[in-house]
Amino acid sequence: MVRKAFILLLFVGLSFFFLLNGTSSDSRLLAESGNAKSGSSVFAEYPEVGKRTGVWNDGQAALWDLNLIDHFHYFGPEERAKGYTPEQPIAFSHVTHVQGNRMECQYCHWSVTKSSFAAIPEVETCMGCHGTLVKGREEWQQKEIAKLSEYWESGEPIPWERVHVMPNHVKFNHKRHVKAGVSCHSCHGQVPEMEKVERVSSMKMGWCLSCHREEGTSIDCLTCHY
Amino acid sequence: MSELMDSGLVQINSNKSADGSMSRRSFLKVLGAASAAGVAGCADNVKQKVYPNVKGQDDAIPGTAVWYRSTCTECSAGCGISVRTREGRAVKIEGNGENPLNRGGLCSLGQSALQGLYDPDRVRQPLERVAGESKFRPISWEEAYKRVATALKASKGKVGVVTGEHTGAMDELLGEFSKSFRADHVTYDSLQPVALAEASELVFGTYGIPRYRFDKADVVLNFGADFLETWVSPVEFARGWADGRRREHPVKVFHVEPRLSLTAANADAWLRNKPGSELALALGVLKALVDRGLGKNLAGDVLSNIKSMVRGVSLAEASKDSEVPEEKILLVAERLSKAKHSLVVAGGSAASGSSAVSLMAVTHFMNLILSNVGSTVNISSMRKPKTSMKKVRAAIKKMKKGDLSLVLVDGSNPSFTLPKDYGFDYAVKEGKAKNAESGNPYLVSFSSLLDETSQLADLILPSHHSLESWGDSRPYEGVNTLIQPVMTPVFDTRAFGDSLLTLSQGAGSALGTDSYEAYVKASWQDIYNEASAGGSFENWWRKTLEAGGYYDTSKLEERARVKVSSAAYKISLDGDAVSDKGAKDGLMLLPFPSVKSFDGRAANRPWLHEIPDPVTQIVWDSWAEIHPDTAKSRGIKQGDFVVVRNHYGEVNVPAYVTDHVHPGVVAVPLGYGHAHLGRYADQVAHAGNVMSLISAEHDAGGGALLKGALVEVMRGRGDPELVKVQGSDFQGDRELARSTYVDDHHGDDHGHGGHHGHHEPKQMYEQREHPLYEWTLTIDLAACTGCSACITACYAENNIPAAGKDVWNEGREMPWLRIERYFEEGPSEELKVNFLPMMCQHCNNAPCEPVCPVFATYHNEEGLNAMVYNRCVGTRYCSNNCTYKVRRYNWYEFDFPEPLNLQLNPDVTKRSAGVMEKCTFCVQRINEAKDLAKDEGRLVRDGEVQPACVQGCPTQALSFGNLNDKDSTVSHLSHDKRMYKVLDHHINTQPSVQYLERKRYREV
Repeated sequence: MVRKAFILLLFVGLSFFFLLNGTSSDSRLLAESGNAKSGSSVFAEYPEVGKRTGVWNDGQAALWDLNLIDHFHYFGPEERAKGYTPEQPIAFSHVTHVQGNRMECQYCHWSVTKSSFAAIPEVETCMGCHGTLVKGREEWQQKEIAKLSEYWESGEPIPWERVHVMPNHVKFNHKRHVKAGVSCHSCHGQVPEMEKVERVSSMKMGWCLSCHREEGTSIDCLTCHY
Repeated sequence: MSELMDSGLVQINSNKSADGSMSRRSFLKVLGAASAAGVAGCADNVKQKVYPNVKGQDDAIPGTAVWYRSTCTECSAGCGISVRTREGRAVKIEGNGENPLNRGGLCSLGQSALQGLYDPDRVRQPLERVAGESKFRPISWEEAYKRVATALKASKGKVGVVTGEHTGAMDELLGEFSKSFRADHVTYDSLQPVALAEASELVFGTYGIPRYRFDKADVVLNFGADFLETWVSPVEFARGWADGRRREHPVKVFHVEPRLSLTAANADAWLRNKPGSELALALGVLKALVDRGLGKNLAGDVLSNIKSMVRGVSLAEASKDSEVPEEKILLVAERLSKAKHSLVVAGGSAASGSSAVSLMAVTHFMNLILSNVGSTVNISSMRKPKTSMKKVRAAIKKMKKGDLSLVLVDGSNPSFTLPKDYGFDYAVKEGKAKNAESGNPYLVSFSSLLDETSQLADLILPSHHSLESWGDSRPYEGVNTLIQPVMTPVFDTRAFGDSLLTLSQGAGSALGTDSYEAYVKASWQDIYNEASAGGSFENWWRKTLEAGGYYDTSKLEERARVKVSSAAYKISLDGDAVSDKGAKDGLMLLPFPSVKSFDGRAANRPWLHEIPDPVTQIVWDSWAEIHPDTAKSRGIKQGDFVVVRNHYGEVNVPAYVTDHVHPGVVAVPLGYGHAHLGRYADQVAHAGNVMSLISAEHDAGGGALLKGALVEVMRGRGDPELVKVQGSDFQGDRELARSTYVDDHHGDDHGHGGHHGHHEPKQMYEQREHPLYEWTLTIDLAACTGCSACITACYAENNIPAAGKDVWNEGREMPWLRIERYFEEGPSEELKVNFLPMMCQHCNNAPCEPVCPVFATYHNEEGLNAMVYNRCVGTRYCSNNCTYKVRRYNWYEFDFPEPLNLQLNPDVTKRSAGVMEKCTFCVQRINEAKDLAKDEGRLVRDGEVQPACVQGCPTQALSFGNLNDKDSTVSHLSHDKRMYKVLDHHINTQPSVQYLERKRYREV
């Protein structure tokens, strides 16, 4: 059944792929032949700095980059699919912390403006409140906070499940995005409303590129892949 | 504190620790997950965990690097290093630019220290020998300490301590320890030029190795010292030499050695002498200098004594003995006497025969006559080696007699590096037998590797790597550097200093402190007082740690008075004695250290085996250099196994037949043939340890006698499959590695890059535009020695796997950077050797780009030839079309056995099988600099981006920058008349790598 669906999708997908690829390269060739100065160049012209630069088939190297279908949802590992909501070792609620207690994202994810990596808060940070003051009202809350204290006392880190799993060949930089004014919500969704963190974006290359194109920022491969 | 230092690989900083200084070095597991993915490459092990820190860190931001300054302890040179750590693990070692010795560069051996730290074959906890067997079993540290302390208490006055060379606090501690236990402390480092230090005592009145200033000299005469490779302080000397090469009239080097070493290859004239004739030749030159009327600067009696010393010397005899033509001797003397500043040095294995001290003394006399002392020879700050073969021999004798009941060994592997004739193994056996009834351990090894000496030990108390421990180094007066831990220990090891302190406490004679860190600090109080820096010691200490040490460069320049002892004139003028026990054949054995093998201490580091030997281009093997005539008469062909043997032993080595060695010599590198060390050393173990052919006699100065053994050489059995990387030794008329003659005044008839007189070629393709940056690399061949430190830096930075011998043999090796070596004959029939570092040229008209069917490689607007791994489908068209053959295809999935994988750079994707890769100009560093510049709202500054090869180069031969910036170094160099681009004039690839022609003299 799965295989049949796969073949069908592959067929449909491939026809789309050739169709799209064909039109795009045709229009490019037309544009070039119209330009007498470019002569026999097979290379794309460079537009102005920082705008839509890169190679001429950017984003079209693979079908699933086009966001036509969610490749990972159907074929890939669950961890890369939209809607991935793993069980966490501690039932941490962003609703309570962000909506209830009005905490800033960067209070815990403090390195987001300093580094490519957005820090997961140290256990020490959690214990700043939970060590003395906050022990939880409901019974389930008290149970979860007790788990936290256990980690703190044993000196063990909390083995959180990673929600946004990037492949190794993608070098994403949080700092650049935050400094450019991209809000956390644009990629991570409405985390303040999530009891359990969920992956809301496909985080595939086409998805990245759509925004990069819109904003006119670099679409050079070497920005993220090296 | 010590609790933390004992925490193992997985445990991260405990919240129970109050000390922040160690916690910032602890493993931060946040990106441990990311790096784990790095190991697996593209494989979908996507279910990842993400671990936060338990405690906040004072200076570490996850995802960014933290740097620690320290000191390299791989050899005794004492180069400063900066260690880059990511998430609490060391990932890269670079030279410390603030250190006045190495000034930012670092050799291959120093850079490979990371693979010593993460050696998968390291001893992971204390081990104890299973009685009567050759097996070990783990024991606890408490138990191990208790057993050694008991033995120590019982053996007062009968303790032997064997260590490597130490200066500073460790030297003081060992002194105190030896005093309180009345121990015999023996220092042994096989490559220390002790004879030179002895000769200084004779001639200058002070024991030590003078600080030689190659940067100040105009003419250098060198008897065999491999100062660009391993001798004394190779990075410091190479940098000095390169500074001299950059001048308009570059330093001219005459090199005397029976074989073509890397230093000989870089000399302006290589004088191939008969082995053992160095002293005769030196006396000939001294005589010629005296005859030219030099030495008027000297006090009357000194000159007259020298004159009477060389009275009996005849130039004709010297020429006959050494096979160096008389006119060459006269030429050398003339060049030396006419130079404003000159320098005469001797050293290396070629000058380590029985006449070594006399030879060194003669070089000192030459330096006196040439008034070099005080200018190029600095005798006020000297290195003082402590190695003494006399002491080693005495200690072994004691062991054999049973006079020692406990022997502690650290930082030295005498069972491998001592000539077998010393009988160290036998002495251990005898000593053990004679002390058997006490039930105490006899030989205790502190080595963190299961080397040959550890294999003999009763107990192994593994030491920290120097990147995990405290310490210091004081190579010269005025150069005081610190060693600090850069991360939590990888395994359950303890610092040697801490072990010594704990043991002496356990044995009832505590030495003041119980932590070696406190001991080092206490020892630095003197330096603090001397520095009179003001402020508190703690503040000063912190600043000193940040700088890597305290440097008082004025001390390096001080002058000292020369006091020639009368004994100096009575030196023996006999040449090297030859020991011919049992060898009918009469070839002289010349064992030598090389940039990749040293004396064998780093034989378990795959990076060093992966570097082709710069001169022979051999990888993953040892070799015996044999002259074609010698080979022919014995029926030996290139790559055959040869048996080299004499009375003392025999070794099997693959033959490398070459003109570049004296017919009377067989030269074999040191450091191969480990019986025990680890998995990578095992792969080259088939070649024997050349130390087994050397007699136990030492030279007059008490240094190791490396030269003088006669050996029989014959064809052996089997096919060693010698892997020699370079196909052709000659570049034909392709002008790949060019040189220019600096003494030519009618300069139009020879190659000047970019000024060939022909017009700009008509371009078929549209020309590239680089609106902001045009990244360009410049390589000054005048300063490149071919030492290959850049290759090691590239391996470390870019996660390049060690492919291994079989893969190299298939031609599927992985390095992004290679050093091509070409021979050619110069105008005056001298051998010219050209080195050409070759990496991706980032062509503007790149042949690789248009043939890629999936656009995995393309040209970006910063002038980079990009390679996108995740697009690559592995057709290999690009590699086939690359003119420079610099693309590497991942035919295999390579293995990084734990914990070597911890060294992988998290900023660089680890490639998996089926993907093409090549030099990226370290685009991760470019991106990092651009990121920083963007934060500050500016462009990247010149010198801000340094690819790994540029940073690591000991001679700073490489520079990198933006060609669009008219003030950048590369822009200036692009107008240099020596600038050219490889093959560009043939095929118009328009590379982004510019080379500067090598400088040569038409007449040396």
